[in-house]
Amino acid sequence: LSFYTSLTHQTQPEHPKILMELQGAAKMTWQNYQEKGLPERKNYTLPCLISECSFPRINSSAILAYFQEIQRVTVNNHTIQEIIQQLKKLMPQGAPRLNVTVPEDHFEQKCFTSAILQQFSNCMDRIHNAKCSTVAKRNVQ
Amino acid sequence: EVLSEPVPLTPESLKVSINSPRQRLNLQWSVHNFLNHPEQQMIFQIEISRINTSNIIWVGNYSAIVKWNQVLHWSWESELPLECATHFVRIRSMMDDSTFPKPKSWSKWTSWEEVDVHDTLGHDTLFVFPKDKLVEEGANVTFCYVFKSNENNVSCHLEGEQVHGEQLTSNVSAFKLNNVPFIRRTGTNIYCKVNGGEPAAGIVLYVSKILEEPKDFSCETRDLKTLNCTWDSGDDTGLQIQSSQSYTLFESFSQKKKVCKHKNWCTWQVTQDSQGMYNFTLMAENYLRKRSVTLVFQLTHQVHPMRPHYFSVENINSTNATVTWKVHPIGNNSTFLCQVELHHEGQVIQQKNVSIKVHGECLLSEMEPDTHYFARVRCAYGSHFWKWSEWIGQKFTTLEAAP
Repeated sequence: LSFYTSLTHQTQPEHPKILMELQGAAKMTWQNYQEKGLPERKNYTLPCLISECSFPRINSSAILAYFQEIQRVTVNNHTIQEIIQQLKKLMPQGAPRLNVTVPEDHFEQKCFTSAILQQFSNCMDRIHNAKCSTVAKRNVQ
Repeated sequence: EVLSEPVPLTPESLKVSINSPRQRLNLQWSVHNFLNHPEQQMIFQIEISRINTSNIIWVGNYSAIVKWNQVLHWSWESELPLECATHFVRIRSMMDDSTFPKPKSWSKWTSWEEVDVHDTLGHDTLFVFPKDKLVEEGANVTFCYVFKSNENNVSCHLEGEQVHGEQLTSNVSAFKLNNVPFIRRTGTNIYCKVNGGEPAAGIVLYVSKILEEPKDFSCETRDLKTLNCTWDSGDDTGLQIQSSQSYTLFESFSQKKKVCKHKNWCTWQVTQDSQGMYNFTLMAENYLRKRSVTLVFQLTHQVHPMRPHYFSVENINSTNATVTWKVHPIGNNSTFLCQVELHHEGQVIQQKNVSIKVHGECLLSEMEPDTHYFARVRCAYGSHFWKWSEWIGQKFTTLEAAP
């Protein structure tokens, strides 16, 4: 779990566990998002990681802001609620709240939601895969 | 004396406005300088053209009794979103009064009133309409794209599948969707994109399940104080932009009404002064439709007594036992018909009917010594049978026979 600890630069021991649970929730949320027939959107991007010195850190405050807005425009989605709860645990003290604006138009709202959920799922997968390759390297040395 | 027909009066001050979400053109006009009649029966003929004035798509008549200088109103629903094409409207009139002999003649047409929305579309280049339209499952819907360029390499997709339409003008194409199905509460996704071009534009078509007439509408009371009405509501027609259907009870004798909180049951307080007969209308309603069913009944014919209580088996010996119980009183001086059953090894071996007021008692006899039995009772309202109450019962064992 040390890899996850470096990802969050947090001192709390449970953070790596939270990230692992977030990865599961992110995948499920994206897979359960049943909106078919939406075009790919490049103009909606999620700032998932903060690149600091040599190691990227998860941008929990930004992601939280995005998911709180998505929750506002989606109908009682429990996994989004779970992601929000987990992200709140990762929030650095006094972190500024990012201002995120969801499109007013319903079709664009769906495109926005779809893009963010997919990017978050991919981002958490990349983190997970990066962790696996780090552990593998350490086992080789 | 038959009057010669006056010169027909051309309608004036024709104004056309748009209700875009409802895809309606709203017309208003008036007729001036009547002769010496305070009011006049007239027929108005309306023509509607699309894209250009020669392309007439609708003609219809509208009759009205017209007062001097009265402003008349009329509206027309377009199957094509009004943003998709320029529309033109003109109108003429004819006297329709028996004092004037036939044949009659039409007035001159007003000039064409043009209704163009394109210049209000905004700075994007690709648009899809209608935005957030709400229809019922099975409806026919027309959508279109408007592309502010004459190249025509735009493709449109319904739930990811490409669909093909009819080109209306060099930069507008219309797509007819027949018998649209319900797909999900968040709506059906439609988008168009310029092949190899900028981001797509899209709309959500909200297709609602059809509101059904409530089924199995029934009311009953357990105490002559509260009526409990239930029904089968069928499909929930709620969508992201339309709340589920609502239900309202209306009682015509008392003229009272109650908006129900639940989608398949509702309670109604029986007041002291209330009548014995009830005529209920249950109204189901959503944004698109209303459905209602009625039910007429006598209150005392719908009594469903509560489960009896204080049930016990007493004076048990080797062959006999006495069961006693109490009913919840209903109204004043009511009687109950109760049914007692004796079971042995899952079989009903005795059944007795007893008429009681509040306290019930029944002797069970001819039983076997040292044997396990189960006794139970249920009751119905004595003056008019509607439903049995729930059962209440108890196991017991007869004593061994004396040596």
